Amino acid sequence: MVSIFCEGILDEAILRRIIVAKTSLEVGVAVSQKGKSYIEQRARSLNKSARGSPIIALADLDTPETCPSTFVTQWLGGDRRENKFLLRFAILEAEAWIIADKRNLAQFLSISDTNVPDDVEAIRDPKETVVSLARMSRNRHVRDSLVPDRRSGALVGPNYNSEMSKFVRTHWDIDAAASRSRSLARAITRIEELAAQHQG
Amino acid sequence: MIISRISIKNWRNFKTIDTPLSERQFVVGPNASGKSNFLDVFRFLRDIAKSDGGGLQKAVQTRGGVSKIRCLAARRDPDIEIDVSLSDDDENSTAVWRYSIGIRQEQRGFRQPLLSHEHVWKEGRLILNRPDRDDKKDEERLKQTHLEQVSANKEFREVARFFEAITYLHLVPQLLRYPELSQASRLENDPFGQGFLERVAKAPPKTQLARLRKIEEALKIAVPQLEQLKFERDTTTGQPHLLALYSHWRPNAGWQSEDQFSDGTLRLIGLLWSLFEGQSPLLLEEPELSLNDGVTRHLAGIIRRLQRSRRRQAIISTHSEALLNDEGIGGNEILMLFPSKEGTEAKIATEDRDLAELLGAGLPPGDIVLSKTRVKGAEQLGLFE
Repeated sequence: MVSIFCEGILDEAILRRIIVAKTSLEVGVAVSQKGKSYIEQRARSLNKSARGSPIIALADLDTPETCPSTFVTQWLGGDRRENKFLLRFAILEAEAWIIADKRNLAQFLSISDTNVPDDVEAIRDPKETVVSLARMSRNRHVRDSLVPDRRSGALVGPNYNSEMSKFVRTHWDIDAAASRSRSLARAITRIEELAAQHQG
Repeated sequence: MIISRISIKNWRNFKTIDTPLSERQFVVGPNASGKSNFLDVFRFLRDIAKSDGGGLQKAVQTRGGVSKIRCLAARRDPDIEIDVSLSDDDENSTAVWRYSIGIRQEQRGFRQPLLSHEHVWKEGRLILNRPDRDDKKDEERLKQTHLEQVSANKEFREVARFFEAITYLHLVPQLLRYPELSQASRLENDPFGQGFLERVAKAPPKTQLARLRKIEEALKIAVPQLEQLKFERDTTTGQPHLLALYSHWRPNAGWQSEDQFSDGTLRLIGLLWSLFEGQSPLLLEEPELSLNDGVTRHLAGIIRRLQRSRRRQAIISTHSEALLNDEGIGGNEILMLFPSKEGTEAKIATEDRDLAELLGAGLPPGDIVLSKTRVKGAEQLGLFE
């Protein structure tokens, strides 16, 4: 059993998919939708309790100026990271890992894949990028679900999380995505290592 | 006294469970996992023990007969069994009483429920052991428990009284607000709180006042504009009414009666009031309904405070993260229900290794426990079209 802690529903879908596809671990406790600060505030406790069963936490880096390892050190407040505790960051947001599977995303959104950016880790706002890609969609259902109404003031459309989670569960090609995103490739390696260690 | 342990067999969607209970016990689980069925076990014991119009036959009948109560997963060993231990509130003390009952169905005829056994232990000593010689001579006797008979329960009357006073509350504000809807069809034991106002009315004036003061204190936190709570009888109709004074620029315009209270206010008043009544277990069904999270967050603590002074056990079903995220809730106070093909299973949160570690590290119980009992695939509800 592995416990997972994520920023949001979509991050949880991504992490679950990686765990199912790449390891034989089973997800027990899964806490998401609490945002980044929740993980930040509890990182030390999570680290401590990971002496027993493994725990994976996934957060968005958000700012390119800070190196992920700086965050890890800061959040753990000087404690040594336990082997069974993984704190990974998506650069800059989990959506970048989704955009990295260029071909499938284009197909899912009904757009041409030439519109999908290549250097996903350089995208300043991956979430907004997904939304603006969806805006170009030829499919009305995609636009209605993912693009927010101008008056709503929301950043994403009314069905964004469940539609994108569906993409992650059913269409997302992890290996294709990992070939374009170094942060994803590294996260997968670490998760695989954790699983191997847990079984061994 | 509290029910410190319960084990049941073939009860509705539970094939077998055996679990300790604490003085404040939260019951969590996905929809249709059997939270209400679990609470119903305690109501069943009450229905048997009830001195007016109770008894085994009635208790089974109102639930639709043995075949409705029996777990679908029951096969080879089809008796329904309930076994409870009663202890003084100290969790470590040994059981003062233990009551155990087994129920089967008549093979022929009216298919009435029959006792397959009825045992009572007092401080570990078996003081009632049925079927006894008389039962074997006359099977008809097995249609009644000794628990329900005043002439037979003398040795363990304390147990009968204890069961009889078990209260279930799932206050439905609409029923209070529109009494004409429900006057004709009030259920026995008043589970939905229709007679709530009359119960308030029946309390001795001094007690009534003291309780209302305390409730008022609690309400002020939840309902910021509320200033005062009082009880009154309508002088012409005799109808009891609760009145609340809300702060208002016209000093005497703020009195409102219960039909104008919000759902949350009414539920909270009903909940707090019932905590003051009696000393047997109180069963609360989703007390968080209609309450703001900010209020729900304090509920666990309020329940604790009020039950402590009364020594009253509270068994509470809930879906609320806010309610459970109180750091004062121990893992042993949370009972998790997991549905499976072979009936629902029950587990105390601290019996789960992962949860015990996370709780031990100080993570809020609501977040992690509820995530464990969340329905698999619920995220796909978002895809519902």
